[in-house]
Amino acid sequence: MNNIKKILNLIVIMTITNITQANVEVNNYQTTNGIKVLYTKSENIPMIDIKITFDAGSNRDGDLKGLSMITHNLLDEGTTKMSSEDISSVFESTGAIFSTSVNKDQSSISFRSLTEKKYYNPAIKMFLSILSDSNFPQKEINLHKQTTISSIIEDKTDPGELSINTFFKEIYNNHPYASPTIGYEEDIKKINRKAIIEFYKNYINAGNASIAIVSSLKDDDVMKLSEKISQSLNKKTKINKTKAVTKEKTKGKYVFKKFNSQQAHIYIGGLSIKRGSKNQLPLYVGNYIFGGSGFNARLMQELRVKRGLTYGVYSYIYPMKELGPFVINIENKAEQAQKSIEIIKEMLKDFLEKGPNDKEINHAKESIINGFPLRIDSNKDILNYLSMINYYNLPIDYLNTFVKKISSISKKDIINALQNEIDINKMTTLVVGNEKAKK
Amino acid sequence: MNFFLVFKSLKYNFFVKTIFLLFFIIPFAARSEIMERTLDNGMHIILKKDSRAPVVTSHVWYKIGSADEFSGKTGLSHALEHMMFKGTKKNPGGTFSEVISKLGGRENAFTSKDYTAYYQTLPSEYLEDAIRLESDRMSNLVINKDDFNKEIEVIKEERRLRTDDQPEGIAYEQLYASAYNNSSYHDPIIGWMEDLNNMTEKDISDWYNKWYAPNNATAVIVGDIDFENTFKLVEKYYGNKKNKNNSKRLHRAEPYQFGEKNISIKIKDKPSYLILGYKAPSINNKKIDSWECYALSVLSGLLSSGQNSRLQKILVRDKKLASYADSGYSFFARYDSLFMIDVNPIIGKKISTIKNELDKIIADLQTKLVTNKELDRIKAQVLAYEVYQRDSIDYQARILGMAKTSIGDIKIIEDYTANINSVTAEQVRKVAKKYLIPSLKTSVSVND
Repeated sequence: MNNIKKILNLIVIMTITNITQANVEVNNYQTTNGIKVLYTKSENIPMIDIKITFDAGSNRDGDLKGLSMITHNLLDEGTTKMSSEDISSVFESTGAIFSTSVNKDQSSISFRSLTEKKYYNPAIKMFLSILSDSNFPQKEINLHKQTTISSIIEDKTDPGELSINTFFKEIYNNHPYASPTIGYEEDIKKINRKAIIEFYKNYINAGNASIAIVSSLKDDDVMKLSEKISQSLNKKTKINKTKAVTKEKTKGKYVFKKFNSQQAHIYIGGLSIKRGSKNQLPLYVGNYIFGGSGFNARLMQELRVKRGLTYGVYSYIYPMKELGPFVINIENKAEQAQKSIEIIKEMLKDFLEKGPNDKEINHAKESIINGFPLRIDSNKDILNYLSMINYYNLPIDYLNTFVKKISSISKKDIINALQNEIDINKMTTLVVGNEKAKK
Repeated sequence: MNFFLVFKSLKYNFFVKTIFLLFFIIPFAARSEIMERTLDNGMHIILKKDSRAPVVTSHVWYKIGSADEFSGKTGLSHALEHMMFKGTKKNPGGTFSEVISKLGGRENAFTSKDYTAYYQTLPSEYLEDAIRLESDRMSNLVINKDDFNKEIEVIKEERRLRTDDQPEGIAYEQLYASAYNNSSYHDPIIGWMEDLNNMTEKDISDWYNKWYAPNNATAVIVGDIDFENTFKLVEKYYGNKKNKNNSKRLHRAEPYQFGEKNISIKIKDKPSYLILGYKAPSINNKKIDSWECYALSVLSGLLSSGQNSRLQKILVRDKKLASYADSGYSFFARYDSLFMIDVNPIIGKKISTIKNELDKIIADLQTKLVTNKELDRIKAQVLAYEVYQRDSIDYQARILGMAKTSIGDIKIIEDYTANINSVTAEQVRKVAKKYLIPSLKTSVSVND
């Protein structure tokens, strides 16, 4: 206990709107080697969830696209003392789940286990030994290279995967965000054990980590555990800043990629904002109204409900560490591709000029605020929020201020954000489909 | 709306894992957490308390699905599910969705071979709004031609997206269509495109009038609720609804299969893929001992649950023939269903090689007893998942709804872990010998 610097004992996040109440208690510590830990106690279910987040997404791949993902996938494939089979046997016989995930910005290692000692003790011991001792056996590297390459080739035959990967490539050009997290075939072929270990030491380490825990364990036990996790990780290294994305002064472009499918997969979008931008929440509300809230959003109402043109049409705003995209996605039969694009562009133009109306704004704000308890109604949801707060350095009362900030957003805020951060003239339109989908 | 295919393809469906999540089903610590009642008009009500957050999920399950349809009219249940979002006189158009959205809720619906279900998840204080709206559309739905003509196009797009442009979707559809000559499970849930082209709004309203009634429905509500007040709410909105003389659901039994069926299909520009199914019993099958179903569930776990499972270890890791291999079996079905295996070969590997390996894996299970260590591994996972599932109220409601609707009794959930735990190595070998045999087998190879 003395070793643990407990910065802030307890913060109770309580959200009280006029009708809804939800609260999550967030504990905040820092381990002796400086790792931030956020922890919530959940006594009702005898289990633990741990998520360690690293600034080690695919934007850290360097020249070998796919390096981050393959390194993470190999973490539980062998330590200096244990084989892949030994490791998975322990997890399977205790019901524990070890997993990793990688996106363009960040990566994470997740662990879920029962807290009953009989299962927990061997499982957590194995988890910690993976953190301190991953050894990347050549045999397993070969296997992962082979299955990864097979998946990459398969992805090219799937119109959904092909179109999203092509779209990112078109809007990010030479930036690391342009490549898919799974990587490219030619790069996977070049990856060797040395490159993997180098990535592991440089990025999956204590200087680059934050920890989120939701469990039924006692506070003391969680702190001791955090300390053990922090000591198990690789030592801190100096990490370079990520490469900035620049909004190029090019005009919008149209890209058609021929593909043998009945439906055309269409993406329309361009660069927008970074996470933490002052326009983030107004844009979130604006996008919610335009295409981000599913069935009730403008896009869905117009293209699905009123016209029967598609099963689904959505718009997304993805704030990332560097400039993330605003993007609209629709699939429908090839013959109707151009018609849909025309309607969507017209709708977007109108939306950017005039913004949403008062009724839509009130509806969206009510929906977001009332729905707040649904965002934190499971251990898994809370864990993901804690991890996000940690990773993006958000204030610890983020969950609370989120609701307050949403309620104070005005029509003017939304229109300003839309007009400043979404430029219809610089958008890329991508159509993946058969000849009939072409202009 | 709606992710309609509960068992679409082993790999693609979000709910797929239920095929073997059912394997990892969540029972309940104590029966006292659940209240079960039946209204005078025959509607079942199941309530379950989970007060971790001020949230509730409210479901209504109808005993009607694609297995109740007939040739030429496939896809009716699913199309009706879509039309249920078109409004009533009192709540026209998209009012329902608008209200739920404004209250911060999310809603959706899903159709399977056995059932059609609707749900809203929202802050618990608004539960009454969800019940009020859902009960309204049980009897007052307005189905007009104009709405239907647009919606059927939406459904066709859904079919193109999930089946026609997905080799695994096509293979799955072909598997059921080939395995079953007469069984009600022969046809796809979404319906054949040719039938969708012929469907009319009258077909939909006939289907609605025939099947949507309180005595054919179960309300399942899980979350931060008080039993008595919640029961009163359900009674208030559903209690005065009249029951209907529902037609009996006709079960078309499957005739004898004369031998192994091997289907080979070609899909241009796609990688190869293998899916196969053995006809296996549902827990409703009165001709077998129920332990067989539990032993088959364990067998599926031995094949595909975890890295050391047989398919993973042999096909993916040791022989390096597949990038992905899975199995699925759910006895939570109204009628006998399929025990399935699907494999994505590593690019360049032959399906015939994989089939040979599968034969060896199955022969091994039919001759040698599995070790206790292997069995214990499966059982530990069942226990753990039973705890993990408590983290989701939606999942808890789904399991209850499925058990009540397909099996007729939720006690099966309570006893699940104990029944899995009592499966022996000998029983696993017995079911492997009885069911994983050529005369019950159908396989579909894509681009072999």
